[in-house]
Amino acid sequence: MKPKISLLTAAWLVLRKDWMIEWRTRARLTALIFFSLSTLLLFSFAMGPDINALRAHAAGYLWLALFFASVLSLGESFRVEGENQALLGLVLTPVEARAIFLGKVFGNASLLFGLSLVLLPVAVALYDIDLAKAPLALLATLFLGSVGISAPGIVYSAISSNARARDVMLPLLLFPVLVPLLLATVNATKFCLGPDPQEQLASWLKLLCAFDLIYLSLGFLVFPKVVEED
Amino acid sequence: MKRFVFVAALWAGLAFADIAPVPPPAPAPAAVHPEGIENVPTGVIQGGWGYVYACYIVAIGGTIFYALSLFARRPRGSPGKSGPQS
Amino acid sequence: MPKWAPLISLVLVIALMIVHAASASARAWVWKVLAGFGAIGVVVVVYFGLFFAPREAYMSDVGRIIYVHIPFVWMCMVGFTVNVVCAVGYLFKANWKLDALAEASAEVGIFFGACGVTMGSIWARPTWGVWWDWDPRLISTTVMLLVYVGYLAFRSFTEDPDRRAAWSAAGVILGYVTLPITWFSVQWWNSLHQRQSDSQTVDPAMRVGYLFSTVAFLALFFVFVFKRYEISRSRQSSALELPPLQAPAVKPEVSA
Repeated sequence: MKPKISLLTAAWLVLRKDWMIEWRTRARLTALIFFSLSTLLLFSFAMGPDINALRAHAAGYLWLALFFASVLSLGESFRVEGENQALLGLVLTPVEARAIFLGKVFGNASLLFGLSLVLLPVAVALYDIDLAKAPLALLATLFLGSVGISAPGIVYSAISSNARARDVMLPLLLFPVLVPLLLATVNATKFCLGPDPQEQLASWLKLLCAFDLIYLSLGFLVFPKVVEED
Repeated sequence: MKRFVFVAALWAGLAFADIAPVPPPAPAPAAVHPEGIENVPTGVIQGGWGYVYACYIVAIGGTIFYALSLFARRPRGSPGKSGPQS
Repeated sequence: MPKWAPLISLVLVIALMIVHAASASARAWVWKVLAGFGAIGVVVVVYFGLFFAPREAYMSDVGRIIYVHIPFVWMCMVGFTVNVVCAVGYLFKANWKLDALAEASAEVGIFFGACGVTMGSIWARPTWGVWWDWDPRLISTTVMLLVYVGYLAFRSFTEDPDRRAAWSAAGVILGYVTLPITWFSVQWWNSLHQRQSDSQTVDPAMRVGYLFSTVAFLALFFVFVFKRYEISRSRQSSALELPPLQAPAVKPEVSA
């Protein structure tokens, strides 16, 4: 059956549905925020009171907190669809599975992006970083990184949601794939927050864009095979 | 007062001693490598056969080990057919 | 070692593989021939590498590790590439043989990769002074192996064979991106690990050695994949040919 509405409209509807679910289960969202806040706190406790060392590694802590939070949010993203077989219902609507992929990726990415915006002031307080140096590039890094986590993350979350031991399986599958992304985001954030004498920021941002494009297109291609039962 | 002048003179003398010309250092002894010149590395790694043997043992031992593990897991029973048709 | 040895043996090995693929009756013996060739080839490689080969210009005798390090990592990459080709093929047309071949090649690839990384680590000690270093080549290779370990773990944690095949195929296509990263990492970031060697940078006497070694291990690779494939096939048949689920004759007792 041919889809009645365009791909982007359908993706937008799925995205709105995800936002609505997030809004209606605000308690979960709050728990996610406090989880990542406590991760940031734990890093600052574990690494001791040396403020210079904390400032130098702030980008790494920030992104690790986001990575850990992303495992929770990605797992939730398909757990709620598992209730009452909502995913099956979604797949049975005359909507391409690819629209579901796009909608869910950007739903999750917007969640992570919002989370990172909440974490930034806390990072300023804990690690004494300076956000005003390159604010636009910093926002771009955070957004591209969120999309980069979500694009392979949604595929792996859909895959692992029905496996045994899915809570272990998702990070096991996802984290190795995300290593290049982690390098790119941490370095880009570091150069946004601190001195960038060799002007490397642009090349890391370019790597981030490439990562996002590769995984968005690969996920776009394989996602229908993941959710459609034949 | 006498004591004060004495202390001031001593202090001034010490201060001037700092800018007084330093005698040139004694000429350094001829350069001798602490381990002897014949032991200075030439840039080419010497020896290291232990590492080479370790690598070859990993390669051959690993291959034999994996072959044995495949043998231990070999399918038993009903040898004629293997697997469902596509 | 004569200059033509790698090429002749490569042609021979590939011809045998084609015979194996084309003729069902040849399948009983071709792998034995290849296993024999591989075993003899490995003995030749050990003799050549340890006693016959010339010393490397800077690494001297330590450079002899090249004759086992390169073939293992190459076979790892060949295995993962076979795997991803099978995965893409499976997503186009579901076929249990492709699924079994994907599983087999991933496991054999992990074996070769793990041995290759171990050898690289041993080699790093005398040449770089450390067992392990923050080097893009090392990190990306390890990450690639981890992706495939995750792939096999995922396969063993999913019961439904249809879903396992389709989902692991989809997942591993995303994971395969790590392989080009590994291959090009030495060109993108100039670091400790050297770039790929080519005929300009390697003496022909050494090049012949590691090319022949690659062909010998390719024969063994093929035998391993074939035997592992048979194991996968027999597991599939036992999983798929079960009688349909029926109500148990005796109801399980419900404990209070």
